[in-house]
Amino acid sequence: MPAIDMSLEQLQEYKGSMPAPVDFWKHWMSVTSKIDAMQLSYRLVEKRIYESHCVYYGFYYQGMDGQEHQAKYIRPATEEKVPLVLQFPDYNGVSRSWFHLMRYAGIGCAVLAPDYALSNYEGLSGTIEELPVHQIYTEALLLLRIVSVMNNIDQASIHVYGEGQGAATALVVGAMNPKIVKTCAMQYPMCCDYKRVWEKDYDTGAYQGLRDYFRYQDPEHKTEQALFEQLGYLDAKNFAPYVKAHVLQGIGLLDEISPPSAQFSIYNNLSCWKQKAIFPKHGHELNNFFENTYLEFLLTFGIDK
Amino acid sequence: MPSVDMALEQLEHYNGTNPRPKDFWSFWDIQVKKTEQMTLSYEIQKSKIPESKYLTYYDLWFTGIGGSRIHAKYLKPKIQSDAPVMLQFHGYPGASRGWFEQTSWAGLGYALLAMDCPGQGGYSEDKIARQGTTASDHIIMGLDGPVEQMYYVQTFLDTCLMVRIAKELEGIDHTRICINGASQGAGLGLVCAALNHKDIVRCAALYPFLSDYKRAWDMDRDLVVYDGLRYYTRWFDPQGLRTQEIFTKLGYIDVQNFVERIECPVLFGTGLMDVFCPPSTQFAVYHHITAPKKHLIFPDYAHEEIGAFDEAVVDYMQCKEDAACLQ
Repeated sequence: MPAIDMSLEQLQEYKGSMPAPVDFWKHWMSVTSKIDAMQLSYRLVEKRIYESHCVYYGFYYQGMDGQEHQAKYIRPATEEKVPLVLQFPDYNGVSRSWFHLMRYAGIGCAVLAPDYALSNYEGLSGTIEELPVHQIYTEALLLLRIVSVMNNIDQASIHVYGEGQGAATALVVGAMNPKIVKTCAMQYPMCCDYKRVWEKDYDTGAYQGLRDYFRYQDPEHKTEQALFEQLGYLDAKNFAPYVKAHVLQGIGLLDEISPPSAQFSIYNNLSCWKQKAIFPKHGHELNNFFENTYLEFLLTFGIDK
Repeated sequence: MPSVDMALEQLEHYNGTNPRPKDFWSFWDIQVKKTEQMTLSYEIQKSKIPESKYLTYYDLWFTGIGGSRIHAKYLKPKIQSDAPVMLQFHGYPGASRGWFEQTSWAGLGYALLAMDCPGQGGYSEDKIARQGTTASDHIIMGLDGPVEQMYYVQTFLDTCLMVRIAKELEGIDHTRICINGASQGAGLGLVCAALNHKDIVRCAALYPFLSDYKRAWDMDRDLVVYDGLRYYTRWFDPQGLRTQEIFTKLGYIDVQNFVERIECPVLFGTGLMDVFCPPSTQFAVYHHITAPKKHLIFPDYAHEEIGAFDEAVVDYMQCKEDAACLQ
């Protein structure tokens, strides 16, 4: 088997390089309480109407920062309650094209896909709440709360999906909303096992912030332990034990952006119903085979027939 | 403006380099007629993807040119009895894209047929024996034998069979057969629209491959998708003594020579940073289209997914008025 990381046998057992912070759950429950106390505000603006098929909407909502945030929203042209997939963007923060997202309308499902506009994206300084990934998770949790009060959505059929950072975000939303999220599908998740990523020298690209932090702010690594402990609040594998949804996870064994071990640390910490799709000759890339599996998964466990 | 080819002002006047065989249409008219006389043989089976309330996923198998067994994905909406149909062609040398990606058109009520090209990354077989090298690339497969043995002659004709099948399928609006494709898929789509000009009502083509071979070779861009040209000329004509002959023969499978027969409005897209299918080879195709047409140019994009083009394709396909669909 080709390998850039541990052997597959080791990967199947690997649960991560650091334990969760002791007050991990307490921290995120307090975040959830703040979100629950928020006054929800959102509005829809019709962008395109494809009569008798589907409608594109601009979806605008007030974020935790009080600013207006945006998402793409497509729903089948029906008054009936429909299932909904909340699809989170990868590291670039940009949702996929309307055409790409329209695949959900083809199976009678609505899709809500937020865009992010964050500055200082890679910063690691500041309190945990100030870190960009913390903000992304928090906004995602807020968005799920909005979805959970939308009255033309089948509340028994809400699903989350993402690739890369979006996959981690989907998992976080699933973990914090076990009674609402029915399925969670992830392709090559990131934001997991930061220490392992750094140890494998994969702290480039989306993880460049780690490299820059040590090189420019802490070249002697005086804060290394504290930094990785802090990142434990954002580590997707620490959310995994709380997920109750059906989970599908895709992993390419040649992934040099998010090393396979870090991804397995998520999968091996899941205690819910779970399915993995391993691609020995694929890296950090979308592939037809994963998309086929995701569609089968959604139609089998998610979208009512 | 960044550039990997001529300046945009020159591209806008570039008409192609590759020679065109004198008997181009008489050759193709015979091939198309023979294909029309073939007995259609196909079967439709439910695929492994579970059907939803709205859509059924099928595998469609048909007997293609030379007896090859050709595979296509077939998606059919349940809620509509007169669905328009999208013929979707894929890039080189892969396969029809995944089932979920193909589902987007169903979101607009389209049925969809996505053929796997013979012998590439999908399930279609290629049973034709040919003269000449088989070590590299499909452009040059059959180049040493009769023209009708060339790989793309076969594949272009397979697209004609796909159209004939589309016209027989139940529950399909046979007056709304549309085409969409990128790269090789755009090349196949444009040829299909030309050879079936009475049946095709829309054709969207993003950065077409299979055009102006001589230009790609002259630019030394006979790499990646056009690399067969490099292998062939280095191995079989190292001194360039047969250049004219080789490229004239390739003229039979050059997309720019077909498109004058297209009758439907064409939506065309080019990324100016495309190093796989050089922009000039694409502009040559565009200029030979005589039907109503529109060229969307993306200066910062290369040979990659262009979301803005996809959005434009949706509106172009959805507009039923020929006169308005390119506005």
